[in-house]
Amino acid sequence: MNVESSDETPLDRTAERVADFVTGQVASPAASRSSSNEFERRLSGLRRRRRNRQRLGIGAAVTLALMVAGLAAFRFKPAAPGADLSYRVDGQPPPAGGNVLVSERAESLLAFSDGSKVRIAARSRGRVVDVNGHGARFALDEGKVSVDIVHRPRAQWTFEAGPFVVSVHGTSFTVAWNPADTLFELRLQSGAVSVASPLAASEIGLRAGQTLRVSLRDLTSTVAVTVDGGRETPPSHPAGNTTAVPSPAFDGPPTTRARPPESARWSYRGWTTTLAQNRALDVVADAERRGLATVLERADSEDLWALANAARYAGRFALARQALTAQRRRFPSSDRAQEAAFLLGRLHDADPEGPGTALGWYDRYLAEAPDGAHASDALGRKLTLLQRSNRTTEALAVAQDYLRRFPRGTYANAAHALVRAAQHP
Amino acid sequence: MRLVTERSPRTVAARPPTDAELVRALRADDPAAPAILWARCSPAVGRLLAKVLGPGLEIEDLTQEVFLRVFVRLPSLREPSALKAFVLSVATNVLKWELRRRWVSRRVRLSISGRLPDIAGTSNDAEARQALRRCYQIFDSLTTKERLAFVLRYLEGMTIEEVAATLAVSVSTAKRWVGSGAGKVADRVSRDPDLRSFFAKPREEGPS
Repeated sequence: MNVESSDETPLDRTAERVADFVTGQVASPAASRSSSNEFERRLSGLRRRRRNRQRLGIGAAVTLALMVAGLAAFRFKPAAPGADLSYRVDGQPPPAGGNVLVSERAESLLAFSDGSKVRIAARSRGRVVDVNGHGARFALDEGKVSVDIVHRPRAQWTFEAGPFVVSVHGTSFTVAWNPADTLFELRLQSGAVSVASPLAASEIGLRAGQTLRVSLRDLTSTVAVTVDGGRETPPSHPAGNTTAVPSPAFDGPPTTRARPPESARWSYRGWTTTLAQNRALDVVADAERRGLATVLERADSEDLWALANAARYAGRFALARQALTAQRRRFPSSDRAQEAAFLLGRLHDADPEGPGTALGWYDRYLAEAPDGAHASDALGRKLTLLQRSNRTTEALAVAQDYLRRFPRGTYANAAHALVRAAQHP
Repeated sequence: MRLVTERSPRTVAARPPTDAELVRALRADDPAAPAILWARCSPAVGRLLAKVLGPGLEIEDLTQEVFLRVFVRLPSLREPSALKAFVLSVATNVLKWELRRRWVSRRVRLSISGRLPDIAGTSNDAEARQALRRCYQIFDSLTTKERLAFVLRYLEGMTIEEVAATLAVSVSTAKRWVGSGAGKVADRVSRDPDLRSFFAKPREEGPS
């Protein structure tokens, strides 16, 4: 048994002097309230992630059990005569492992087993999201598709273009979507379709020969009748050869500026939860699928905040700035609006044209939330930016202010060094 | 179980929870417990981190890291009354990890000089600042275990038994590491003429 004790170990005098000196030089960091808050914030994040992991584990187990049950049921079920539709892309089987279709030079033809056809114009992007026994769901990301659906009983085909959803039963039409300009156009050759638009309270019914054109940027919707024999007009072109006709589906006369109706309220997307699962890219993709212009104008405060953070994490800084600016404009009295000012400062921190914008946002945050959770950081970042741009006098003033307000803060060392340098040049 | 803290008006006269009560409250996800744990243990942890690593911007962040690990490892704490020792042993693990990271950074020359640039003490005395920087250069030359053992024994004033418990080694091993660390520090100070004369002078002033 080891019975050695510290009493048997005389301390080395030189080492002891070094130890005394170092102990005297190294200040003990105090337990500040802001540090405690930060710890509690990080701890609650950790607990949330652990809970999510547990839920994910349970979800995975349930999913696995359902899959096993489904496979067992499938094994003993006789093959149904009306099985799911199949399709080919330009005569070839669909892309393995994914359903993204990109046509760079020539148009692509999707031929479905029921005889329905979807022609994807060159430089367009679209995806077959789902195929079942009644039809398919196709998402047009950008560009134009011409659709020819064979009429069948209980057929169910859906075409999504940004925030628009076109439901068809048996018809021929062309649909175009330009996400950059948020322009949607649907030209109906035959049959009937209904379109769910973010600018309309209810679905818009269209008859053969009608063209629906919607601009989310201008908040205008137009239903027109083609009078030149059905020649197609791209959505970005002016509708010079069309005649506006009233449509009962619109709240006001065509081509008037329309506010989003009350019944078309934002449906909560739960992006905060998605983001907590480290799925920032999914949040951004979902927002893009719904149309960024629509999301920025209509998302509720929580989803908009989650989108801003997701965009930051995904490196989509322009989108993050848009979402934060929208947060401040649309929810000006909220805490998030104040915090958005700080984050906008962070996003402009490394602006090549100088720190002016970032400093402006930090000042705004400090004015709006002088005791806010980021006040120490905002002041510290200001100090760093001013030092970096050699604005020493201003930096010194900020350093003194920082030390007065946050004597044990993260930037206290830098502030002390600056003050010391000014006292002993 | 619910802890009563100063936040609640009816709690002013309440006694602070013991370590064992605090551990039970943490395990029961009591919302007041993390703040009490932080207030009770973070000064000691921050002081240890600062002494081992030298003062720097990352001390606060590493202190947070220590407490997050404490929370994660809390289920493995067998003796709830040994909370402080447990927190310090987690802190030394974080320090080992941080010292290794710094060692690798120096090896791959992430810092141009190969040295950490931000040792800034609290003194206005330029000579003292320079001496402090050199002391930490000497500390950098110790192995991780020597450095930790030296700081715990000489700077934190722990007994050899406490050093051994904190580093989870035998008393003889702790004694060997402390002796080796202190010997190297003394040797390198004596071979540095500036430091030798600096420590030969009587120094009475504390941190300014």
